[in-house]
Amino acid sequence: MDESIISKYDEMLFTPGHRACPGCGASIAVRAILEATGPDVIVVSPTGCVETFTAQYPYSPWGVPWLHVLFENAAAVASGVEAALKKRGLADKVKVIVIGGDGGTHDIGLGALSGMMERGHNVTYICYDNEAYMNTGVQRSSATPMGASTMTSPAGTLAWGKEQPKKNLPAIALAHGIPYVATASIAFPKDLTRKVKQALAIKGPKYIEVHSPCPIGWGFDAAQTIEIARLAVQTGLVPLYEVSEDQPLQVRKLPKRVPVVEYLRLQRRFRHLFEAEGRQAYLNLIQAIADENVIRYKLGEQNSEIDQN
Amino acid sequence: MAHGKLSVMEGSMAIAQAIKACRPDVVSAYPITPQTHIIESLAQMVANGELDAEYIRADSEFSAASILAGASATGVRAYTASSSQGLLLMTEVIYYLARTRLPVVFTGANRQVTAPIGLQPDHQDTMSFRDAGIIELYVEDVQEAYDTHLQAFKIAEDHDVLLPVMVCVDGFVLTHVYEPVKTFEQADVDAFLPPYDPAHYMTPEKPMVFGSGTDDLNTMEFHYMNHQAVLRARDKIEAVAREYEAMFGHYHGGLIDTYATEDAEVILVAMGSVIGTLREAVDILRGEGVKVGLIKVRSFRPFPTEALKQAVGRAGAVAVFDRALSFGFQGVLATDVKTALYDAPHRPLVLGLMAGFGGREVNLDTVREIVQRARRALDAGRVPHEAEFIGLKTETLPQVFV
Amino acid sequence: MKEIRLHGRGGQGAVLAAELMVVAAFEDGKYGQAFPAFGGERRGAPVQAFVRLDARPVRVRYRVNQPDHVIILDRMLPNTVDVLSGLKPDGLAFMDSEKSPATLLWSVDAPVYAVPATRIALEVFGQPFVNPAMLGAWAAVTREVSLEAIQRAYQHRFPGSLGEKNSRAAQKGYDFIRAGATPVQVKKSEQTPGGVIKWNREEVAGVPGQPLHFASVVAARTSLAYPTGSWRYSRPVVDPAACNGCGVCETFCPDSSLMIVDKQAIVDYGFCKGCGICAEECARNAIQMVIEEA
Ligand SMILES: Cc1ncc(C[n+]2csc(CCOP(=O)(O)OP(=O)(O)O)c2C)c(N)n1
Ligand code: SF4
Ligand code: SF4
Ligand SMILES: [Mg+2]
Repeated sequence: MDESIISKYDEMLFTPGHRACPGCGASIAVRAILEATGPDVIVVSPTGCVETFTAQYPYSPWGVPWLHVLFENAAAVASGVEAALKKRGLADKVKVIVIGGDGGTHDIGLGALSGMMERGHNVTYICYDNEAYMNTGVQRSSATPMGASTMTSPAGTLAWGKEQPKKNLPAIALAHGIPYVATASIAFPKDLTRKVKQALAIKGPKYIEVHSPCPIGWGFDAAQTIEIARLAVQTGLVPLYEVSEDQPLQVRKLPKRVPVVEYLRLQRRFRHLFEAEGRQAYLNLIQAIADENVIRYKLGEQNSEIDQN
Repeated sequence: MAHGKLSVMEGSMAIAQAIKACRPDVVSAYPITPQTHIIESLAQMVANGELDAEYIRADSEFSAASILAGASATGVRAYTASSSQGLLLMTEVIYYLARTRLPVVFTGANRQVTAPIGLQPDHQDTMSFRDAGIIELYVEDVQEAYDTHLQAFKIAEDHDVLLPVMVCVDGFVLTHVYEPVKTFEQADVDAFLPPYDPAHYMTPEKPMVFGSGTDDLNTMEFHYMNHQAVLRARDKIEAVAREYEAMFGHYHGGLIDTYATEDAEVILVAMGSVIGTLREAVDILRGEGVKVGLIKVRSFRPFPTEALKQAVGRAGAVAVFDRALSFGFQGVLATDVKTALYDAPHRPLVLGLMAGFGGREVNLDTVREIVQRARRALDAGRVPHEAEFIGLKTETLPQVFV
Repeated sequence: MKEIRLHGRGGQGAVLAAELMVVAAFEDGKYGQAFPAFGGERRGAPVQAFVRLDARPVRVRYRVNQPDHVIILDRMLPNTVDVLSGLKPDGLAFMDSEKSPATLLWSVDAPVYAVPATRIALEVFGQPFVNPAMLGAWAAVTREVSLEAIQRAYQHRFPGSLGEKNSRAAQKGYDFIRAGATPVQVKKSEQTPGGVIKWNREEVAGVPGQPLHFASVVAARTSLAYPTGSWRYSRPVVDPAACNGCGVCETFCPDSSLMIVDKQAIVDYGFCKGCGICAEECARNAIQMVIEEA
């Protein structure tokens, strides 16, 4: 350890020495989230990469209380933590958040998440979305984007990767009538931190989805993690927006859009779309998703209320 | 000694009264017959301000158990009840609670497991947690159900134990029966059961990390520590039962209870609500000169190996009533009884009897038949089958099975 | 029976190499077994794979604790992992390196072949796929399997030009030995490899070096006793003149290994995994990534 920074570690909420792959987007998300929460928080994580790389007995980088129970129940566990804090008279002081993967959120944990939102627990549920089950070796989740090749949605002579579009979980969360829903990206950490702070200031269930590239599962150089995340936003494939009771829809505008191929081309999971003949149609389909996002979330209109950090 | 109040009450209500008196901080549950009356009563108590608990209507039993995992890890007293499919749906969480040593108390309102779907009691559901690392206590009547729930928190939360405890109560037969039961004043219960003092819990002042992973380096040691905690609970269950007796005047046994075993040639072994019927049968048969006795297994985990050996003494035959079957082998309780007696000084014949599945009635005639079987086995010097199905209607089976 | 242990880092192909050793041996009429040390290790973390080769079917199923041969795919590993642990008295080691391995940390005296597998791989693939050259060298010395069988195993596994390249890299590793390479006799060093940073904080369970916690609870920030700096292939080097302490690198570092102190970026090389994000994101180009040399 470098002596000049060693003293800083005592205050850190997420210390080095965890076992994420080099360049892991999810760890960048965790750091930006804890920046917003401060130390008075209890974090619940389902099984997944973040859980695995932060909790191998007896080593852990967490500088805040952290609880992992199972893969499919983080929202329920967090509900119980919140209830216990109420009984301990700490409900106003200590916040409860979940930091969970897309598999644990969009798929196997969706029932528990829906229950948590419906019951109205004061929990901020944050999904770090790396768009597949990475912990088990890159299998498709319902958050895997259309066209991506994974170990269980492989491209082949007859297949072009995952055929279905990404599940729109923020919309499902909104349908529960909860007071705050946002999307964010690790490429814009200040925006992410601000959104988490915003959520924590509101009582009730909140849902935030953070686009968090994974160099291993997506197939790009570890140094490119932020660049990839940035491109995802700039293409319109990952719209950044927030919806709260006071502000119906706030979006990060895209003054100049990047064609999706410039994002897809850099990733091994989409390589098959460029290698084989006759795959242009699929690229068009993916471009259409971005175009539709621009319309649906009004990404193109001029409106610079949100800072463009 | 505490006086208490004797009144006629439904079993589920008595259990709810016991839970209320234990002041749980968080209750979370999901309805399933025959557990429903317990959690409905608790909901009403919260609604009326009689019970100051966070009551969370979960979206499933799996979530209910998970909610309690979160609550217990945050340092508060937690309770739930379920049955059958609901208990099975909690399975993953129950294993977790055992190894992370979170003392949640469960009521297992016993019910058969689908398929076929049915509402009647047997022990197949709760027995599936035999190897989860928790404590399981089986009760014989409503009074014992009430008393054992008060004891359960005390055992679970003991710092030498720190384990989930499941109080297993036969569905309908006990949950839906009305009978006289003595309940106690809150002040008396408070004197018996102190507030929960967690040994490990989450708080920002001293952050801890719960639920970490490990591999061949440490797994065996963590399992060993869980095992030792269940074993340590043997003394604790006995001690708490005696302490309860001193305060409230009720004793239903510690790990086991015995009835007329001293000079018995045939000893019946069973768990749960059938015990009352068996006590009656023993009295009648004794009146007829048959030397028969009864052992109630109250604590199934930890298993009362030594107590059982002693209680069996010199009896020639032991007849085990099983309400759960390890398919392809034999009755679950019988298996354990045989294992426990393997190195007993006088190893008796052990009959494994499948009786009471899916709520099939066990009455005095059934017991009579079983005792006759035991005596025939004694005469023959051996047991005909390792698992005998009592009252099996062979005439209804397809030809190949007959 | 010959027992072989491979040491590498997640993503480096130690498990693949082990698999192909057995495929090749089988082609040559032998029996064998290859398996990884199972775990949830991520890319960059030290990993092991094990191989047993015999004239008859291999029946035992436990890790190779007393290897005849050790193959080290990563030149940085010996300082952090006791790669020669349990090596048989007449055992041999093979390591990817262009330098003499004598200065690294070793737990026993042993002959170590330094094979320039990275250089070969860069020539052949343009990428550091070291395992074919290492297997070629190993085959040349031990003659446990033929070079041809190894080449066929790669070609079968990677049809087309990639298989061809692997085959060529294996040949080059083989030729390197045949040209007369000899092993370096390394000596047991005073410092033991793989020594963990001593944890001297609170004396509580759940902390490295303390008795186990009864409920497997871990104390906060204990990962500070788990340095990950050895995972790195290249290190970020900050140019103090160019750095203005803006902190972009600090925000984006996934490993909390880079901090701004007195308006300067300081890297903790004890933990930095060398992902290169800081260098990539620095708007002033104040950080360069430099290849690590053992
Ligand atoms: C009930 C259950 N099913 C399957 C698994 C195996 N499993 C563990 S993590 C995981 C995938 C996690 O994916 P995600 O939530 O997206 O997190 P990531 O690993 O991508 O960060 C799976 C399938 C499990 N632990 N529990
Ligand atoms: S697999 Fe991806 S998400 Fe998981 S630790 Fe590695 S980089 Fe992070
Ligand atoms: S290379 Fe830079 S960003 Fe990556 S771990 Fe090292 S200091 Fe952090
Ligand atoms: Mg994922």
